[in-house]
Amino acid sequence: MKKLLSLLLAFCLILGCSAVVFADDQWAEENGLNKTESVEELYAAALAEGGVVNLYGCTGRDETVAKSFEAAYPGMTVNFYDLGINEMLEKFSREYEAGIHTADVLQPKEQSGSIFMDYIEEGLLHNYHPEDIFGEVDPAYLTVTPFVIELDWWNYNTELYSEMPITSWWDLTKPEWNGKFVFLDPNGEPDLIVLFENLIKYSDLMAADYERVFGEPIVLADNEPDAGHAWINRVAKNGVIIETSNTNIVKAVGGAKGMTDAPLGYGVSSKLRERDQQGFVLGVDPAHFEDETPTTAVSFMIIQIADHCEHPNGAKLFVRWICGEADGQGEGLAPFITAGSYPVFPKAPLADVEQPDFDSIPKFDLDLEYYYENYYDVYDYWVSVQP
Amino acid sequence: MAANEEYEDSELSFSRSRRFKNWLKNAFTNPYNILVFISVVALGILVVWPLLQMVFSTFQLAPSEAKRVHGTAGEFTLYYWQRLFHSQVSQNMLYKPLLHSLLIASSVSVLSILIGSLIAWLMVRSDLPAKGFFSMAVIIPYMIPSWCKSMAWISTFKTSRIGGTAGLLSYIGVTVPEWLAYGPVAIICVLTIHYYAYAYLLVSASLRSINSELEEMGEVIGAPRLMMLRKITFPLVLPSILSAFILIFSKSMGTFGVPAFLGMKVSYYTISTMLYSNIKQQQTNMAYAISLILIAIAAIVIFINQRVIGTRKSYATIGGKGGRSNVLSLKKAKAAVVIILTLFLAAAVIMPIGTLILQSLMLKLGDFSFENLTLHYWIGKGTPDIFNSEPGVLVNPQFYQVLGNSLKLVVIASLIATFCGQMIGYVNSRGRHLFSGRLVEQLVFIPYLIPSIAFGAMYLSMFSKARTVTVFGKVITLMPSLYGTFALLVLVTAVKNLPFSSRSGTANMLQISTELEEAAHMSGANFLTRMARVILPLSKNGFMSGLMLIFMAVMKELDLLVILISPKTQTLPYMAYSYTSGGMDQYSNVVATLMFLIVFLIYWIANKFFNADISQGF
Repeated sequence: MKKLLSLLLAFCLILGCSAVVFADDQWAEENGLNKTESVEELYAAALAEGGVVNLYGCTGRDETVAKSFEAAYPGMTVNFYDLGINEMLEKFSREYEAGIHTADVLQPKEQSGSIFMDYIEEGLLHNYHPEDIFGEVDPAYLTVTPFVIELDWWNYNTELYSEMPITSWWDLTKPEWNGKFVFLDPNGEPDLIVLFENLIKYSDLMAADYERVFGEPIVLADNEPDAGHAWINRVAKNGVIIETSNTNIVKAVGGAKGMTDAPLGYGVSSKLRERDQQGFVLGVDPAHFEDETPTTAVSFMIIQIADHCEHPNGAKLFVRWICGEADGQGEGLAPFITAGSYPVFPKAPLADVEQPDFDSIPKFDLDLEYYYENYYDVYDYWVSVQP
Repeated sequence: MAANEEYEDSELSFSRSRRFKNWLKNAFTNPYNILVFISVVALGILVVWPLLQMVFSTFQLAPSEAKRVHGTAGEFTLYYWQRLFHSQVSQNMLYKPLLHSLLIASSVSVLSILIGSLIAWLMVRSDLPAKGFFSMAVIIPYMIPSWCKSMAWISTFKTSRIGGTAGLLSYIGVTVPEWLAYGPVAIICVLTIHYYAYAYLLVSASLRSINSELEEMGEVIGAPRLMMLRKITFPLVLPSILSAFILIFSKSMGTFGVPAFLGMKVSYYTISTMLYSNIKQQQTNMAYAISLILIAIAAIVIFINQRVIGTRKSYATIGGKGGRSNVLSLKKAKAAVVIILTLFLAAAVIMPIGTLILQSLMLKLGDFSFENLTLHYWIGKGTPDIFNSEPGVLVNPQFYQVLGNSLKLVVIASLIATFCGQMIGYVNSRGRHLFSGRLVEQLVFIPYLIPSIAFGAMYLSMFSKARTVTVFGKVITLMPSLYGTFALLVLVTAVKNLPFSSRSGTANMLQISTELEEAAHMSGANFLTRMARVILPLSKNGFMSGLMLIFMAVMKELDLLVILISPKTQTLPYMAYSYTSGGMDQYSNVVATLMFLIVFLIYWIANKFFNADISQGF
């Protein structure tokens, strides 16, 4: 039996060690990812390489983009794989390891720095920043290839409250808010962990704000190293309701008219579009807190080209399309221009609806490396204090 | 021991080489051995290998963690196990959720078996009226996806504190305590409604095959009815009850949707929701470690089960002579039984389906007014202001293509899984007292405990390239590259469902007396003839039940396939998922309703045939 087992083991090891393809920047250079080519050049080259783009996307809106792309470039076909972000990355990296290069472009969301650190830095995914499109984009954003910014913010029910009812992060630790707020499960999505990381990073501001709100300095418990951790611990103990999706959060806050006991909900800004599309009674005011602690972190919808993909020119053409082309007015970006989504391109239009002005929103400094480094420490802390 | 000694004695009268030759000949031609050999090799590749890869991964530092703990990717590490068993997160990541899971799994198993067996007994052995209707209705809850039942549960019981609008009960003024709306009680109730069908199917198949002569014998010697039930009927169906227990116990240990839907809001985590959390956090190796704990628990349950069945005699109940079953009269209780059963089914069937259909008809969700009802999402042509002109599902040509894919996958995969399940069931039942039989039984159960998404990912890696070996200059393909093919979807689905098909196969085969096979053997029938002419015809009853069981499970499968699917091989659940991810819930509800109708229709047809067969066969 032992012999059999060791044989099996050896067998597995041999088969497990398939040849590893080393990612390199050379491929990116050879395929012109550092160049700015004209649409005509790319279109011709894309048709020449087969007229196909394989897209792994994380939202149904990518399908709309794919359809308008096919209409704009006759002869091009987009195969759209609708996947969750996690399934997408799992599928992509398994295929990559096996030397299969199905995906040409991936459209995930970058929040916690993991796509930047584990995929882009490692050369599995590439940035493509044609000068005419990305020339005026904030350079701080260009560690990835973003096209739209999404934030997380507090939503309130506009039938119950005439304005945002809380003015400090610490309000949520008060008894009157016990059991009356909801956020996304930190065990599932990165949104809350990134928020926690930032609150810890801004602990000094949090401590000062505590004193302002309660009139006395904060007294930390043994398991609270600083004011940021203290906030996490106390919110966990104040009856927080956990939701598993952003859709459920906005539904809980204002999914129907005549709700009597709706909670506040911290969720992704782009869901504000349900107010316009489905008539949800949602209000937001991210600049309503009275102190200077920011209220939200920046995250990106990104579009990355896969290393060693088979249709690099189709991929480049598609990236241009979803970014709305040089003037930002293109049809490809349109499905993403809704309430609470902010294009990274200064020339691109904003949704013609009532929404907070992007520059007025107090945002934490973007620091993907910091998010990446501290992610699991903060996650572990949450798990240890969660209700 | 006695047999061994006899053997030793007779050794003198035979030459060693001849004895060896006979032994060898027997070993290679004995169909049991051949089946065992095939099963072990196939399961080794399709099950043990992925499992070993999982085990290795938990001792290997993944690149993303390597950066964090300042190690080198791929080096040996105890990081994951230490984190799981002994760190600041252990309490909330392992011990508490594990306790919750065990509580849920045992409650659900006990309740499901009570309800399932009771209904099975009523259906098979009593004079319950309208059996045709009830036997159909009783199985419907299993055809409804579990998330749909959770949704119905919430829309009935939810309190206004969580999830905004009040549920039906709060709406009409009944105060619903929160522990009923969310948490363990809710999870146990919904899962029981979902899983009792397993117990019902397995126990009723077994009851149906019991030769009523056995009970008549009890009657002849004057045993009271209750004693007959306890001393004759119950022991006879015990193997199928234990089968059902294992199935339901591990299904409820591993299930994700319902505990996530009804537990997470109140931070009630189970081991499976923790597992999926880790997968979502891209903590794949942690997730593997948690899966291995699930596997270990299941192995213990199976071991105990084998002890229980092993120390008892197993009963062969399909004997050579058939007898007609007599039904027992319910007498005065009849009316009450009918009413209770009807109410139970109404709650379990009508509510979830009603909610689903209603939500597919609402132009805007959350608006319950009559003007808001529409057939747009079913047959609408598509208007630009509603979800970018997406046409109604029934007029969307893509739907029919996806439907075709789904049916093809479901039919092929469930046939393969069920057939292999019967073969493995044969090995399990005939080898109950042998190491080989027990080995196969253990191996075949593993796929269930590997989380679907991880199982799918492993198959993607395994079959992404052809694996070849070169022997004496000849290239032999050990495993073809199945990447992106339909065959891979079929394979992964069939293997993932083997635990269930082989469970029902075992329960089935245990009841077919070996003497029938021996009789055929003596009249010169070879193994294949025996299978084709004796075993399979006798087991068709269980085969159909098993097939339907797998069929319904496969029809709803999503997690397993999601990373293997390509745009051309989409299935119905994937289509429903895509609609939801695009915020088009109503379309998704239409697809889910249609999925249910298809399963129902096919089951109804099978049931018609199935009944006809019974009346002729026994």
